[in-house]
Amino acid sequence: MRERFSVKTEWESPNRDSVENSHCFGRVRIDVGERIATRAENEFSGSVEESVYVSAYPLALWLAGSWWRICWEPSLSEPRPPGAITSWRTSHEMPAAGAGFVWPQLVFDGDGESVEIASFAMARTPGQPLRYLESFRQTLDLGSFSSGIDSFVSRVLSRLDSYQINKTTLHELWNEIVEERTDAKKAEIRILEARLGFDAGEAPDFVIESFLGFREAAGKSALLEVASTAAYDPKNRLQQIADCASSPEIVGSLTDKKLLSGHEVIAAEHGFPWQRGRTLAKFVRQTLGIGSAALKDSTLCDVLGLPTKVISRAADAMARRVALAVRSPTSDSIGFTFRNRGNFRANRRFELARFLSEIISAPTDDHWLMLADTKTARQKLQRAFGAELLCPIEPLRAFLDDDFSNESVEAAGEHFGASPLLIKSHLANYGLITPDAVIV
Amino acid sequence: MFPRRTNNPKRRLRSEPLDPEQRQVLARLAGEVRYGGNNEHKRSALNDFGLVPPARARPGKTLCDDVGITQRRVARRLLQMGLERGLVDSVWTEGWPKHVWAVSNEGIAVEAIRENAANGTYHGYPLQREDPLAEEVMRAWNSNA
Repeated sequence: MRERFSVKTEWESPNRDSVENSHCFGRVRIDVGERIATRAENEFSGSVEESVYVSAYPLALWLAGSWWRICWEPSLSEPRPPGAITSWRTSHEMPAAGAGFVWPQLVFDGDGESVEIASFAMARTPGQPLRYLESFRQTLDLGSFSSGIDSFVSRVLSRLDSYQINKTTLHELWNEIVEERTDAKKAEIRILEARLGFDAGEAPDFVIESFLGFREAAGKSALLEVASTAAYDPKNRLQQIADCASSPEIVGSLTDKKLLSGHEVIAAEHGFPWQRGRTLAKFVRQTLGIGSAALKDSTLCDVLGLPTKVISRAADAMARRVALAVRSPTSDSIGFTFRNRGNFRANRRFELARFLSEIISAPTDDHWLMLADTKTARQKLQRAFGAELLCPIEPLRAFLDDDFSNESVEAAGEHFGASPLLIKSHLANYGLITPDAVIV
Repeated sequence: MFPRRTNNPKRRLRSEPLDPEQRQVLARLAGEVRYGGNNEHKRSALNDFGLVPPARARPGKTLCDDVGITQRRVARRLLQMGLERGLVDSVWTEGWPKHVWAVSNEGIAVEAIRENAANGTYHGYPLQREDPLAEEVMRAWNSNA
């Protein structure tokens, strides 16, 4: 059953507020899957209620205004200046709906295929007679989430129309959004803007044009991966990546073409990116005949047509900020640029594993295959693949034998050729340790 | 590329530094601005806003008296200071910004929204603590002191 996002309203008579706010006043209840996000302690009644008295209009307006960024702009993954953080937060955190109301602290984090909704219980705060009580995280597929918003906004518009209030900002804005969603060209630009961290229609033309200039060289979906790493300094970042694309460190190729069937294996599975990543990793292990053994450096490098010195040689003096593989449009060759970081061998193996997942699963017209720290669907799939390929969960569990101490994890890292951080993250993602135990 | 026809509904503090002419405009507005008030942000009738009824608090709304704002002159002074320090919305109509922000003596970020553009009347309320704009208001208030 698909999890749902719903905002239900029970209208009340108009109160004293702006025309739009007052005519959309009433009890509002927000459900996220099985959880009631609006469950709150009402200081006035002294009771816990499941819906709250607010105006639905500012909420609908905020959801409409933030729609593209909520669905397509993942959470920030590296330090940014305060202005960029506020920009992200005002587009993804429900209290930004403002208008003098007290909203649940819901944070929406979209990766292009799904939206993770996090709810945070509140402390008692002077001036805020509502205290929301629910803490949870739920991930909904984008279609289900989007349907929930569509229904809610339509209901608010109908309410306004019933009072012949039909030329509001929400009416005009929603018409534009519907138009954009049904126009492939406009939708592509809106998604690109969102990935770059801009509100709809506000990215400078020179930035969009720079990116579109690389559309054919990089690939349409690949460009969106690049964009999500370029929010802070788009033009320079794009040029940095283009420079790596034209002069890779080393050239290899996919030597076992049977692995390309993995694309169909995961296309048949309609799970979340991390589920597809794990499925793909199991397929690759089976196809390569590795079984439950640790993946050798030589096997990993042979599959990518690379010498093992790529893993064993010392790190270059210069750390790079780009990890990129570039598929040649005219041959089987793939150019690789690596990003060097500490714990050299383990991190290089993880990079190679992630590149392998991209080569198998990326759209065929994507030539730039990028690894990044961002939380797009594609990066999530890569990371889940890399973890499962290097440390398949059942052999890992058998090795650890319920001992999740740092020493045991380090030993597992040596055995499987993965960093302790990767191993702990993998265990946490399988629910075998708590997320706060991941800190190494 | 494909600019929106509709204005962005997001509340945004203007970020550019003020030039002398803009400062003059804001100083003038600070002298002319009026404070109306909204009894749905008032818990206690013990205030001098002159609203009828004096208080009609809604649990879904933030409350001014809980953060020490019970007098019209205090509310108006915050509004004036917000204008003088340039904590104003990037959206203006009929010569007035849509929102003005300030920080109360208790250190709470407050927001005022224009009720009547013709005569520059606003009413205000505390920003919800979890509102991401509250941090930006505090930063701007402290740097524009």
